[in-house]
Amino acid sequence: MHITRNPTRNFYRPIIGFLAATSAALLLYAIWLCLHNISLMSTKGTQFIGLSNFVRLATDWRGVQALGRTALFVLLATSIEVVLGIAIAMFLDQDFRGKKIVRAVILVPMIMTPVIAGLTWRFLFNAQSGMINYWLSLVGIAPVDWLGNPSVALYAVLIADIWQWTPFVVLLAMATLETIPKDLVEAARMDGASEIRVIWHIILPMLRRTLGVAALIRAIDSVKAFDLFYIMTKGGPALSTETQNLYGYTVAFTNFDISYAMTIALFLTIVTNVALLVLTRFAMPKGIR
Amino acid sequence: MFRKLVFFLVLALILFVTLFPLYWVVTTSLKTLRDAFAMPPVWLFSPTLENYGKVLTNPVFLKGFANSMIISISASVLAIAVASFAAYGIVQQTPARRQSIEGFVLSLRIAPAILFVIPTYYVSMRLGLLNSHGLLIAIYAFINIPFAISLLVTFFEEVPKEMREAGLMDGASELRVFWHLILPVVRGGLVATFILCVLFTWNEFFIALVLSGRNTQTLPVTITSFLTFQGIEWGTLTAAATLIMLPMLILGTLVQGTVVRGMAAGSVKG
Amino acid sequence: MFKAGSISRRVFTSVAVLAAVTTQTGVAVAQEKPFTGQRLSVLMVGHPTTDAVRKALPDFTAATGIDVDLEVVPEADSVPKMMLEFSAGSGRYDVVEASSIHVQGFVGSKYIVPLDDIATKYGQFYDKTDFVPAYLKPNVVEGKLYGLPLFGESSFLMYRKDLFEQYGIAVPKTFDEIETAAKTVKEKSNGEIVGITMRGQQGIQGVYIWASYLWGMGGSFLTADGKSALDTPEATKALETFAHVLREYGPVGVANMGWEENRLLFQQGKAAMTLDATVNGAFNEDPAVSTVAGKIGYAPVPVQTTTPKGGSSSLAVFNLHVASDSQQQEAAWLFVSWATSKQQQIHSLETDPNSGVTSIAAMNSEAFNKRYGAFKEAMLASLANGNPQYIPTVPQANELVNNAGIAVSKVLAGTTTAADALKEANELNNAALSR
Repeated sequence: MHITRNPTRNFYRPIIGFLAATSAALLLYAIWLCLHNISLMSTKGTQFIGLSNFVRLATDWRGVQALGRTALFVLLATSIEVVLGIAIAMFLDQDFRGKKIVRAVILVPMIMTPVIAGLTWRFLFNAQSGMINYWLSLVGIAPVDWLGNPSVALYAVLIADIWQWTPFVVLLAMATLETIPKDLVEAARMDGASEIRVIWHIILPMLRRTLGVAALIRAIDSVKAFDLFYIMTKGGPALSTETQNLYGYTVAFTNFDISYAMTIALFLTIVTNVALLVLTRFAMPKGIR
Repeated sequence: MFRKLVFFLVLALILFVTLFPLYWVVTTSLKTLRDAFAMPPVWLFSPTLENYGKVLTNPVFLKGFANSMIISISASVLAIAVASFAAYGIVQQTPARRQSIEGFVLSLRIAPAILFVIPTYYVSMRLGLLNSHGLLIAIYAFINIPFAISLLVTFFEEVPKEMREAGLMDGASELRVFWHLILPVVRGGLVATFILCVLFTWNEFFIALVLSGRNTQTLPVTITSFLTFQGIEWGTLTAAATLIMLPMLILGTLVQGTVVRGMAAGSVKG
Repeated sequence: MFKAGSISRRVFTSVAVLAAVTTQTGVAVAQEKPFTGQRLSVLMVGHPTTDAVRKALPDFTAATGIDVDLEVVPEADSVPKMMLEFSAGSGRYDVVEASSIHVQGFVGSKYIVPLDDIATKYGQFYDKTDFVPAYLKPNVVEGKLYGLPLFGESSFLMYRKDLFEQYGIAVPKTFDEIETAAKTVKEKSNGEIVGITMRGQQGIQGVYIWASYLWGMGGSFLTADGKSALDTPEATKALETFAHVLREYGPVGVANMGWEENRLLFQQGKAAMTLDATVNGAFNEDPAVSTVAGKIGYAPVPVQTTTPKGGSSSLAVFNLHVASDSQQQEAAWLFVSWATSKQQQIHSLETDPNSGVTSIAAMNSEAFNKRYGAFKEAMLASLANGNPQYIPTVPQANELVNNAGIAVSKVLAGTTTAADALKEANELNNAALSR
């Protein structure tokens, strides 16, 4: 390179600089809000209260439980979606008529407006007139109280989430599978390797990276999950579906405690980032960050 | 033969589960109130367009439709315009530098919306921007830019390096190379990225819920106004839902491959 | 003012002269339009009344020269929206619609203005005597008028007359009798028909109904000196009884049932009783959506104690208020008084019928009686005994209801005992009240 000043840097620098400056400003403002006591219902005026909000959060059983629930939801949603998605992708990895159409159909849940997906599942899960209990009744199973039973409701939302996002993993994995040289697999089969060995030793290693990417993205998105919860249960019954994100929303827009809501949101962001950092450092295959 | 039968049975099950909710929304929108709630469900019914009539004459819905169009298209155009410059620049850097920039861009996508929605609210109030389309367009563009950069980078890096070098050799400026040589080549990628930005903006709910006002309410928020204090009007609700989903289903199918690529973009090292 | 009063009496006596009178008013107003060209920004909640107002807006503009921008959002989202604007002093809304539980908070924070002076000056739409007194009362704070009621409701017990007759059940007057009746229905119908259905959804939905039990058992949300009163034996008993009857004789899915689900279940004939808002009567009696029209009896909400601290039926009123930040308070008042005027309310019965009208003249109209006659008496009785403090009215009301709702939901779901859940809610509510 004989040109020392690289003009291509001018293409991204102002933009990245602007993004960085704006996010930094918003973050500082968010921290400022956390250190005050801004409540829309309060007439006391804004005061600096230091770390009181963080102390309050540390001893807030509801917040702690919400965090645990978030972790559970993220773990279940991510693992089930990845495993199920890869299984379906491998199942579909053969030539058959209408494959293109199948691929298009599988895309549908992902691009369906989440609010509408939530409304639809809320009705399908309706204990009395919902379609799911109707089908269960056809095979003689007593109606399940999907959204009204605190030990079931989270899983009902989970099912809706799995329905909406497994297709993402399926399509991602299908694309990767198509790049795997077919003769490699055929050769192994010819050598008398069992189907399980072929999958375990040849196909899965090639899917490793896809698997990691899919898991990472699903994990980030399920931490932020809001629409399905808001529409289907709003955190109930008995708080059984209140995630940290939803708790933050409730504090901000039901209790009007803006500063405390910001504290919850900031805490969630920090926890997510730390978890991601740890995960990508130690658990993810190389090439993903 | 048996194997094949099992295959198609399982395939049918997968497709059924995938499509049933969509089927339910569309058929309910064509039913009368009585049929919609009948149990056991009415599978054969005489369709009615009454619900669509109601939705299409509802000024709130039409306004929401117009808002969604204006906001998602403007925000996406803005995002693509900005992101294509950035993506072009990033692709030309050394791998180490690229990694750190792309890492930063990706990190912008992690924060939960509530973290920036409330500060944004206060700031824009001070500036007197609330209830203007400009605010929502700016916010959505801001959110779409990191995404568009990540995705466009994957398109720009597919362009052979020799093309740019040949252009520079001929004495063209970097800007000219970008504009006249590279952009036309990645046209398809730009369109696909644009469509995905529109799709995400169109479907977005939380930010719109908090930051939209009388004049700027978008469709996902509008449809929740069918969930009135006095109950859910399922007929009009599902008709509106169908009208909201339809354009996005069509657009999404048009750029099939890119949807997945776009959602995964930035986390795979190229 | 004087003139409007005389008009009101004429309307009252005869619906026939109504047409003539309205034209007359129209002419009278047309001569003076001091606010022509002003543009009001109004926030209202999704409701048939709002639809009726929207449809009639051209009439308002014609009569006053004032233009109106109407923003309609779901009830749950409307309060956060206006709170954000009020606290920032943005002046974005001239008129807001809110439930009466917020009136105290709004007045305390000086978000809304007293209207008495403007009302005397611009009284062409306003007739104080035409409002149902129970609906108007929550708008009066320390003798000053802060808003006008647009629609309201109370609650009552609805039961299936045919089933009660068939199984020989008397109309319950206490919560124990409700339980006995529910048990009888469930047993005698072999579980085919649910004994009683009520809303159990976490949050305001469940609390709204449970509050009947709370007050009826002699409990209350707050003590006389403004502390939380949820850890009392009365409250515990109320929650135990409420949860028990629903868990034993209620429908599957009750813990996630809101107003809609509950109403549907009852009007489909799947339950023998429900305790809910008076507005449900309109749905029960509408053959287009109900299979039980004409079979429903209406009775007051039961009470268990002879010395309740407040009535066990609710009184929920949605009012229009003028914002303190509004630069056009006179025009805003004209809109408020027009939207709640008897002419508009009678008119609304034609365009978007709803039993929640607050005008006595509208309630006495033929249209109202024809549609809602089946439960009008019971509704008026419930209204008269309606408890305006039914849900707490302090500024922290939302948070108190939220915490109580979690307790109700937990006990209903069987994850905690009533005493423990309420103790927890009590502590949280005291913390919120002192904040």
